[in-house]
Amino acid sequence: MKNDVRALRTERGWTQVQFAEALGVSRQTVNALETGRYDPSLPLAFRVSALLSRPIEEIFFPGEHDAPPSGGRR
Amino acid sequence: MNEHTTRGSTPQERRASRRYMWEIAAGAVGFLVTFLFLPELFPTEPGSPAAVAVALVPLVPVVWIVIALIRHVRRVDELQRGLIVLSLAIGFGAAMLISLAVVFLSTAGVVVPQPEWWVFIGGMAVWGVTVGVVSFRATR
Repeated sequence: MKNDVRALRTERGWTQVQFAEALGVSRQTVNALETGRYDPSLPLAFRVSALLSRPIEEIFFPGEHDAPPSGGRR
Repeated sequence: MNEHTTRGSTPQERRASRRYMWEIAAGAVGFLVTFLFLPELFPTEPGSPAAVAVALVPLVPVVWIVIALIRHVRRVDELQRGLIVLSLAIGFGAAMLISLAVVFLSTAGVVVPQPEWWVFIGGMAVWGVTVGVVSFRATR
């Protein structure tokens, strides 16, 4: 899954530590999110969405390797 | 991007780490004291109930260490919890493999001295290394 978390965070002038604190997670988790190494749980994605005041689908979107709605059959 | 965007930790993280370190350290000190010094302080007759009690007392701080680990797993966030659980699973797998290797070696007539310690140290070592590796991979 891809995301625009880093761009949206820096747009607001927040550091990773400030963002992590507001989300109630570690900075390591924010970094892993931003670099696409970790896909958040749905509750965390909703917290990110609320904090950035954007709908989830404007922050997170599928990458080219993510399964399509067919369940993975292409 | 300035340095503060890629380094540091939140106050919650620091609190959780400090608490974990203190709890683990207390358990480790308790284990060392009971394991190393209790038999010296309370000499017992081998095989007697007192000897069994003295031999098993070091398990109490070890139970505390396990509780401290569970408390830590419950305190950390979802990514860190996943990394800890993954490394615990790999450490457990390594301990089981070593255990089976010892059993198979014994059926082949090879005597491994103090096999229980190989299982314990091997499992712990693999767990410790894996924690570092998976944490590094998650954030590199």
